Amino acid sequence: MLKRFGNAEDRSAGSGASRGAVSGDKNAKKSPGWAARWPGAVVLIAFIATLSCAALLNFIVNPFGLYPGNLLDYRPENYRKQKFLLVHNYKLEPETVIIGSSRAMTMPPREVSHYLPGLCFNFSVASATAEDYYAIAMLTVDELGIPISRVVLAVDYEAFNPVIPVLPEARYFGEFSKHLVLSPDLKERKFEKFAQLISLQQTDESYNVLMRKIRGGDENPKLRVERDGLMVHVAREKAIAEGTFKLAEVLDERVRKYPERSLKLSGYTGVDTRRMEYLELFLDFCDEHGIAVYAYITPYHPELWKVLDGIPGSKVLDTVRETLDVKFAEHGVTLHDFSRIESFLGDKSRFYDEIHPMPITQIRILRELFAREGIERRDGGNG
Amino acid sequence: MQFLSQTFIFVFAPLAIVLYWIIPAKYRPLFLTIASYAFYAWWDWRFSILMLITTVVDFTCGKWIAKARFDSESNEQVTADYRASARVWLAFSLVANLGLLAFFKYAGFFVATVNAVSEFLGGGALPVPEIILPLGISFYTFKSITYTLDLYRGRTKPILSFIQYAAFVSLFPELVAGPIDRSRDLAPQLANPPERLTRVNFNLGIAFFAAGLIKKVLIADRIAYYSEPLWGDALNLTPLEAWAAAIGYSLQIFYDFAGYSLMAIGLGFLLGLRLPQNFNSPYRAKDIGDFWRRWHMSLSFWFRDYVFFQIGGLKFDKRWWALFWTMVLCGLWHGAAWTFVIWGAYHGVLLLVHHVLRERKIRWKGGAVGIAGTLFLVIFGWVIFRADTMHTAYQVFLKMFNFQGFATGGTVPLGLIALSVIAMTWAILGPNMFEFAVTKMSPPKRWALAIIGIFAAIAVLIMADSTPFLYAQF
Repeated sequence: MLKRFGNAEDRSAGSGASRGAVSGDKNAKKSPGWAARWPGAVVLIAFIATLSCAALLNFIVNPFGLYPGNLLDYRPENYRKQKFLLVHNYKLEPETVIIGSSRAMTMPPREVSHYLPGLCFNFSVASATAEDYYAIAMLTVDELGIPISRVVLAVDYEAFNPVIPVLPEARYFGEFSKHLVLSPDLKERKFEKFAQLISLQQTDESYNVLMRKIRGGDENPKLRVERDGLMVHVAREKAIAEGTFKLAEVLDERVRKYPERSLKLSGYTGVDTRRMEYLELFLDFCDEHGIAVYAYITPYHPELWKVLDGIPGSKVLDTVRETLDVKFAEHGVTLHDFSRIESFLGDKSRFYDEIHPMPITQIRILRELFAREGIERRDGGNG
Repeated sequence: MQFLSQTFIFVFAPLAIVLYWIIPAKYRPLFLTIASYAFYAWWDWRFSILMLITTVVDFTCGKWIAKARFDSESNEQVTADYRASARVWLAFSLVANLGLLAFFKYAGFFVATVNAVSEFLGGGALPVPEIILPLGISFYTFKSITYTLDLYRGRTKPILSFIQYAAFVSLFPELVAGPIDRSRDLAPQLANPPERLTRVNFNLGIAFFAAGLIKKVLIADRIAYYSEPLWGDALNLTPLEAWAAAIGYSLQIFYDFAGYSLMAIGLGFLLGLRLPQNFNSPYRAKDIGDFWRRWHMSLSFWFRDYVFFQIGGLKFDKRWWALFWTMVLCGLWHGAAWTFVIWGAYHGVLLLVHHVLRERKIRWKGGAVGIAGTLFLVIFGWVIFRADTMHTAYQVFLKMFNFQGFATGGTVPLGLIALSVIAMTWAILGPNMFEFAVTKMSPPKRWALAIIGIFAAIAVLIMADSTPFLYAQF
């Protein structure tokens, strides 16, 4: 029998890549004095203590409403939950809902009501992707029992990117996540909920909430959600009114980061098949319930298009649009492409940043959308 | 599973380390194998089968090569001649390993290149296969090849236990992005693990892991946060921005990979294993030869030993040829794209010039000039390496050397400038972890250690936004 390979004495000189004189037992004498004491324990204790403080802060403040407690009596920054509660608590019965991401959150429901009968509620939520369209429809009709008749659907290119994850606020809001039927892996998981205790996103929000509480204010000073679901960019509107808002500076800072940071273009090689299935579910649901869908692709600021047009990878957006066109057409819905502002006579100065249009831009989108759909303004005005 | 995940840091690694020291020493290789396969399967279980195939093939080939080369009683090398059977088994091992690598990593590249040539000649195009690149395949394949090659050349002894060999190939700290260890260094350690986790290993493990985490998340990723948008708009940069993008990427790739390597070595210490040093302050190199002795050392020594020496590096008349082609292959190893090949060729040319000058006794005058000159050459290389196409690289070079254009300014974030200055200063002047660990310096103050712990915790808090390790993609 061959002997088992080697013992400590057999160790050869090595590959040339030094293993350093920092080894364990045999070379302990060569190790520095400090390494033989317990500095590792101090590092470890500081590490654990810091993370424990962050976790405790997040649990107590609970800024996204993920945990049972709410010791600071604070309204969670979970737009899915907030909007659900608005409809539920105010017993709203909208006939039309606006579904989309933060880019549609500034679309005034009152303006929609000029074109379509009945109450309109803006159910757009942060970072909405295709599964959100379906979950919101289910939440409204099944959970809240509201038989809506119409949906204004604001589709982002990002909503079909396989690389973009679902936000924790969707994953851990029970009433919402149970409708993520095609994604059993996205449903609530205890460990992930626990892991969120030490996420920067939540810690940052907890800190902001805490500071606001200390200063005596309750509301988010930058954003406010109104009763009809409309989001108001309080701080930016104030800056605009004071003449201190500089769109060019905002664009300068953000536009170049967008393709990789937010659109995650390098991972966007094709349409996410699961998200397409969610879209199919959503459109089937609308067909079954006789819900009319008015769909459009949300606009990017021309400065962002300048950058995107210079990146070969952005061709994927054309593929996504073509795929979506086909899918919507199968259900008798026209997807209007408003991704470039020329398509709806938009004004490039009427954006908060590279992707978020101001309400005035939203009104122009609605005017063009309904004009293309052959729906006239009910009060006869021109918006 | 990634090192930068809460599952790994809070569940997998602590559990693996604690269980490893609890179980009897004879079962540790088995435990390491199971843990490593679980670690790999977490990403995609199907590809763990591929790793198993590589392991079985090379273990079997190794066994047959050993039969031809070693005495079955004493396990000592008995014959110096290369028997035909040993040669056949070695060839089988090489073909199997390189074949897998060629299929998974280079098939798409090969077809795309053929298509480009065909299009140029007016011919048709083949469909480009879309193949998922298995995580860490470049690393574990090289590690496994090393074993059969070393056995054949009588430089290592056969590993008789399949479990020990599987543990050697799959060892989770090294699995995703190296270091590329060798059986003669690692296998004895796996065969004879220490009885207990010593204080020294514990301290070094924690220190290395924390340092790696900080380097990756707080330095590399922060630099990337600022510099990646510049690369995203690479064709429209101003000269100032082009320099910022080039220097930013040079620092990002160093801190990213060095950070990963430190985390791997730290985990090794916590398992009582000594893994090889992978970086030795490469941006402190005085010439390009020195750079390659300091950068990704386990890979450069691999190419030196298994390619350069084999294709004529030791022969006077063939050495330049061998050097150039070794570097071209080294470039190709990094990825299936012409930019990597040209990056390798660029370094090949630099090394050739360096050696020719050295033979003629022409040297850089002064250390600082040498360091600065080498650094600039390396940074130019990173532009080729990072650019999506050679056209992009060319455009960035044009901008970098359009000195009149500096007046146009551009938007280089202050954060990028500040971080780059700090990171470059540390990379050149600061001690690296290995130097730090062997320095007979007085024990660090507790508050300093606590700050390291706090920084590591901050790194964990923000690591959800981290980019994947760059070298894990190679």
